[in-house]
Amino acid sequence: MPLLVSRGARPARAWLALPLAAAVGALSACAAPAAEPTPGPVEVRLMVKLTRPSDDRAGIAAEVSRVAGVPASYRSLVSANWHALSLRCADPSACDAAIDRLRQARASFEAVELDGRKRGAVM
Amino acid sequence: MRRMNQRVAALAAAMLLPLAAQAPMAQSVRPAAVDAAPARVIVKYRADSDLMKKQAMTATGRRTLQVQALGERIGVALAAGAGVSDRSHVVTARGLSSASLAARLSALADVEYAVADERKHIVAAPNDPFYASRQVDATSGGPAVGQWYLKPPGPDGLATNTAPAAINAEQAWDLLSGGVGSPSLVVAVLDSGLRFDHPDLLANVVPGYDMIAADDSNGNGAGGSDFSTANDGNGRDADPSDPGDFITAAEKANNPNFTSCDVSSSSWHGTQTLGLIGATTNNAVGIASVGNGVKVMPVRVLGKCGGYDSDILVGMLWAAGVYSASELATLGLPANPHPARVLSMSLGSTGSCSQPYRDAMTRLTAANVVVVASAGNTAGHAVGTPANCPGIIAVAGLRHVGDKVGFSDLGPEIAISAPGGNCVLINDGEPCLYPIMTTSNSGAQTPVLGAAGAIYTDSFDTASLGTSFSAPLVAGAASLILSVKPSMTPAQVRSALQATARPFPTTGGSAGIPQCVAPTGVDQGECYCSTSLCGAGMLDVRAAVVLASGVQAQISVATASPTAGQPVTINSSSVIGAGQSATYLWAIVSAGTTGATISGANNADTVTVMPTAAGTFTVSLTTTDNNNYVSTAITAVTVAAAPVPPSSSGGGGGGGALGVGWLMLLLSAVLALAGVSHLERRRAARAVSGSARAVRKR
Repeated sequence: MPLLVSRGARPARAWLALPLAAAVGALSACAAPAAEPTPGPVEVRLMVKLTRPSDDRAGIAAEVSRVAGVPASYRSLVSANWHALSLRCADPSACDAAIDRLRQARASFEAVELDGRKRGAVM
Repeated sequence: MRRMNQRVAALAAAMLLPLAAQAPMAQSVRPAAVDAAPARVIVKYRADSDLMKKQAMTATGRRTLQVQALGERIGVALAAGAGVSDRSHVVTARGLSSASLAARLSALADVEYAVADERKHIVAAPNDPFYASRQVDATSGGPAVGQWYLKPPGPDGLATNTAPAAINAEQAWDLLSGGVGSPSLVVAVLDSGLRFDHPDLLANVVPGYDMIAADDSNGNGAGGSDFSTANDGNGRDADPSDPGDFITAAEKANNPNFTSCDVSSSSWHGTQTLGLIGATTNNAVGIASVGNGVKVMPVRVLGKCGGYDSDILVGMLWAAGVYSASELATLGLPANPHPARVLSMSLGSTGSCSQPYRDAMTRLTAANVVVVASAGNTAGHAVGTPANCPGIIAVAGLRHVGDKVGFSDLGPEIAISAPGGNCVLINDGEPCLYPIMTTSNSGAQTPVLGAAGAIYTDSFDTASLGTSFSAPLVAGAASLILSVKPSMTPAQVRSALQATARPFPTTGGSAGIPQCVAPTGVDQGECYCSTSLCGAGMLDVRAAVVLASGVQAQISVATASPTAGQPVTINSSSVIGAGQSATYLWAIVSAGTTGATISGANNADTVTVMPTAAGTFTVSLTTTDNNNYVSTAITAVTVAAAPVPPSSSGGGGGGGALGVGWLMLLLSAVLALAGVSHLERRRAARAVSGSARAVRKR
């Protein structure tokens, strides 16, 4: 059977098979190393879809922070409806809970998704 | 009264004109392709034709007399061209296509045949030195089979310099105008940016953008100060140069942005994927590319340890030119002056398609933008995202023999498969036999500038393997499809790719490999593909371009106001594919009340129909090109009644119906005055009416 391996000095860069649930806690943006999570502030990047389009950055961040119950920073517009923000939480589980609260606030946010990382599909 | 009748007839004709014109206009009528260059046809006369008896002092003079006679018969000014044989020569004309002229001449009794005198091009492999097979060793790069993946498919083996999974791009180029992809067609490559100093990439690149924002945020959306991912010291800007995406051990240990990534050298991933679509072809330098002349636009969305969804989404929407002015203003981005029709995305992650990508795809599809993405490289697991998003053409990777390459993911979301490179490797130090050769840079971390840095991946340390290279081959194929038919929608492009894909092989893989199965959560290496897991089949670019450029029958009614008793001229305005000719067949589908019949030949690009009465008839045109692609169009034509001839008595030219009516009214009044009952009046009226009909029949 032919051996299908990556060649040369570059290590394999296949996509990591991170389950979505694990990704929430171990987002690449989180401060703690994945192997040894340490308590402390972590940052989670997410995108929210507003029920009503807005470009009021401060207002969007304030609403996200109010609903999530943790500090939120506005990062970037993605489209008229979608906006990228960061949540600052005491620990990963606090961010999980904050995201849950955002997802339940359907009057303000039509959808809430993690702003995850994508990688090149090269071996 | 005569003048009044003429006015009525004119008014009626004016009222009917829109009706007559409306039916054929309902078709997407497009003028036949008439080049500025004259139509050129080779005509051969029948041996018994009177035209062969024309006498002149010279052969040229004789041909001139012959074409004058031909021209009078078809109503087109013809000029005689060079002789081909004693009974055949070239004929030229202006104002119509070669196919149209050939069809008209073919219908003449004197003509044995008339065919378009088409320009042929040299069919040859491009002269890019790495395209062909050659000797290879550890210092001269590779692979020995050259750019095997672009060549016509053939049996496995170095002797034939090809492979069953090869995508047949070389023979597709011959179908294109000038032998190249459309320079007005832009493919955006959303990746790690580009090394602009690579000499094989200069000709086809249009300005792109760097969409990688800061990793941190100052909280107001205006950026931050941590540019770890971007690695260029700044956020979004107009420079999509690739500064390298290496990760050192120290960075992995200390930078929270990189903890999930491996220590690695720079990949020059964007330079590699873009080169497959946009490297300059036939320039005697380096490699050929599948796009062969289409424009490529680098949109930098991947940096160190990949890139964020938010940057990728902004890159997608900007590249396609779908952002509104207010969105651009809020983002602080300029409008994209070169909106892309195709997005190539050799990136992804595991997981389901998230809502922002679904929303982006809705906008991109509405804007007629084709999006192609790699399946992923987790060795037979579920298709990654965004490849698994609705509307995206997801591409799985094949080995050179056509079975699934071990690293490729698979699943029902896959639209089509294309080579991803494979090594057939046994021992270290031996060359990788079937990698995807493309452009790159020699820098291990930062780029090596200039000629020293501009390298090509090879069979050794820099072999390119991955579904990252399958997707650009499909994106390039899509760009060629749109080069020959820009009007195609993303769904039509997908359909063309899938309808022409070659079947997956069931033999030829490594001994004992299994059939592929749906992802189960465990690795699945090399296996035989099925259409339920690897898409419609193996990409065949030539077949897809042929299908896209195939004939499309269309009808246009030349007679402005079809009228009973007058001939109606109907033309083909069929769209004929690149390098194709066509034959035509007309038929009356339904004559209705018109009594319409075809007058004369029914196999030219124009037909004459003779209606005898008012009403609507329906005519069909079946156009067949020389690849035997068939297209049929049907059009309804409304025919007005013939103008009423003026009466010689000077009165009541309107005809019997009115006369009978007046007669019955007059009779009814007389009978009423005479005290005749209602029933008796009706009997008397029927008798008058019957007499009048009998008169009209006579």
